[in-house]
Amino acid sequence: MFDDQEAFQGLNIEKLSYQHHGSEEVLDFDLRVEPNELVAILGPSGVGKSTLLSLIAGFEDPASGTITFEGKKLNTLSPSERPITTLFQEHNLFAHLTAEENIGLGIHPGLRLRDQDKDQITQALNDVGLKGLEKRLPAELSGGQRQRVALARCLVRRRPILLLDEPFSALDQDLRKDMLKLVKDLHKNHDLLTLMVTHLKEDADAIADRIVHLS
Amino acid sequence: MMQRSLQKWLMYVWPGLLSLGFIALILGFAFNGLVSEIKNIDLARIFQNNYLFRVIGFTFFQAGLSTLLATLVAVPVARALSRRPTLPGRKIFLQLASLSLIIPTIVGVFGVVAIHGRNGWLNQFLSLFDISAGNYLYGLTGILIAHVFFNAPLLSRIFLQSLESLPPEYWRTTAQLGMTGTDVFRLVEWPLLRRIIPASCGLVFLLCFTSFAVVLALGGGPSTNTLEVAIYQAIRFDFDIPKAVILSLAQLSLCFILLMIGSKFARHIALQKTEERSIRRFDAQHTRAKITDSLALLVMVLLVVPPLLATIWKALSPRLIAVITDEKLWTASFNSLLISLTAGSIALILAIGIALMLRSLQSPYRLGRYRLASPFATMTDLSGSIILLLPPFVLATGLFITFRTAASLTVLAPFLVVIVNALMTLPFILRILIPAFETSAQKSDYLCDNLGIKGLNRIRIVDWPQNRKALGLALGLSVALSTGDLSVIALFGTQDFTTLPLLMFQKMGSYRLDDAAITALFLCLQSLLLFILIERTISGKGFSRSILKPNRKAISRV
Repeated sequence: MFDDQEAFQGLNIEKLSYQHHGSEEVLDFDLRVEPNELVAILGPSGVGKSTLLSLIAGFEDPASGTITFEGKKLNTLSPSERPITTLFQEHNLFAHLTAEENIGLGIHPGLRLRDQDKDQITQALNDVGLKGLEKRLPAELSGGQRQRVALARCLVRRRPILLLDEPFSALDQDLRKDMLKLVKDLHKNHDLLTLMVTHLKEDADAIADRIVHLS
Repeated sequence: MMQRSLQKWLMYVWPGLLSLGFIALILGFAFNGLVSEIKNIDLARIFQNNYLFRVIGFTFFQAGLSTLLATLVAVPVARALSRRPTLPGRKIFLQLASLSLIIPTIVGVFGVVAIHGRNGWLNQFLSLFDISAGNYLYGLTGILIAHVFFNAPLLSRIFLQSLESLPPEYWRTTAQLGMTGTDVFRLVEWPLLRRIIPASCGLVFLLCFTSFAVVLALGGGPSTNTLEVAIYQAIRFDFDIPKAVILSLAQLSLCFILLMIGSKFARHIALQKTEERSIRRFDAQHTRAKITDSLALLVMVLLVVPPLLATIWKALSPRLIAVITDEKLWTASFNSLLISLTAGSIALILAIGIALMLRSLQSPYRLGRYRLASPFATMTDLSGSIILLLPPFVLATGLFITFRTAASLTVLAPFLVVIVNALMTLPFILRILIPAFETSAQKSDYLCDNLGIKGLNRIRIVDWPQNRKALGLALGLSVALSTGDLSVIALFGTQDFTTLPLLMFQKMGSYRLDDAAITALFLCLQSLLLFILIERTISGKGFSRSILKPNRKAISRV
């Protein structure tokens, strides 16, 4: 079994179980994701889609089971030590910081930025199609633009795993299409392993290499 | 059509006009009294020894320093509580913090004396090691300790609620980005707190600026007088009315200036209800966070808990029966009861009038007849600051001068105490009633308009059920505040006319500390019982729920 894990270079979730605080119900997860694979996790609300992402990111602690990536166990690592970056449905950006600063946090968590870091931020903003909006506050951006800024921060963090938790459910249909395309492009161009949780089948169909149904 | 809407518009304006008229009349009498004495003022004498400026200087100094210290204690405590939502004792602390408004000041002062006094617990503890901290309490130190004792918990609560209003995603993001505790404070928490600090610390500054009982009991000399205490002494001990008038006018103008400055920062401290969502902060586990949080909480616990324990401990003395059966206690208790109920009712009636008027004036804006934002919104926001224009001693001094020839002090004293108490608690209950009335109107105006529910029917079917909670809280709070008040009564109290807080203060003054502690406990019980009884009865909640849970969310809106 150890050899097996050693050999598998993707994300391996094995016999992972989780119990909500004060609840009887136990959620169990088993999932393998290849490197560079884009997997959509589909299912009705309440089956623990988001919980799975929280467990992978380290925001929740599993009762048992293991999470490995490139053969290394992630369970004991703190959220910031994991090779993971997450995009939430909302509140990804700190409301009092500009787009530039919000992205900058992905480069240095204390926001002590050098000149080349600023260039990197400009580049990331270009990549998500928001050229020139460095100084905007989140309130001065549309919902779609805010998610783009958050994606830009995911990019500058250069983590191999991207987790998307219902990232565009709050956006209207046309905007969602654009955003999904953007995610697909970023996923390809940056060699990411991407997991997207959604309750919309059409979103999953639009970009996923593989769809996993949770029930 | 225009006619009809105008009529509706003005329907409930008259109660407000009556309220304002009444308040204006009282203020007029007070002001008239002050002005009538101006001719007797000998300016040269006032400026001779810089007394006035020393008092003003010290008033500002102690209020500023108290606010600063309370903030310095409150910020780390709020952080610690925000990081540790499951900490044992957290709930009790927050409940105590929201009760800090209705714990009578003089009781808190007593607790502080019991710990920090010459023979207080601290010195007793130190004497075990043959050390003595000496008599450090009376003077600036004591004033600061007591002010921090009262205000640090209040501020921590406000700060905590503000931190808890942040979305849980923030904490996940900070964790994933690997932000350290310092980063989180610098980049997330502080920018948020900085926005509410002017309003919340401004409130604390005012409470300290106009603080009376604390300074009276712990001030310890002319060099540590605040304006309020100086007015009191000028009347009570020097019988020097012109001096009191000068001090009153100084207080009045300073308060007016503060109000003007304050209105620039006026921001309704919108305390959202903290939802019971699970917030997990990942910076809680860092060693540094554990150390700083423990230190912050330790400071807070050492500040708040011992005085409360000491008061209860001292009250459990052999003197208990003797004090409880003393007729004086019951007379004072009865006086307090009468005063608080009358003052509370007057304040409630005045507040209802004003709130109805504002609701009525707002209605065209609410119903969308006008596109502009209502100009009355600002008025509503400022209503809480009226406290600044009604410093109790200024009012009392003015009224006293006006009426002293008309009636003897025996007749006048209860009347003055009631009126001043009523006006003093008015700003607090306006802050409860105005938003409540406004919210309920927002919910029901359209519907009532549509269904033709109006007049008495509307009051019975819509307004009363929707607002009884707020009314109960307002009256309960007002009565509790009046019960515990030791300000004007100190000025006009006599052997034959005492209230519980005054009786307690007299016992402290004659060093019968056990008796004072028992009186303190009695006073707290009376205040708390009245509060719970009134709040529960009017709001229709009944008494089945835990007695120690008097709607803390609603209190925090104050």
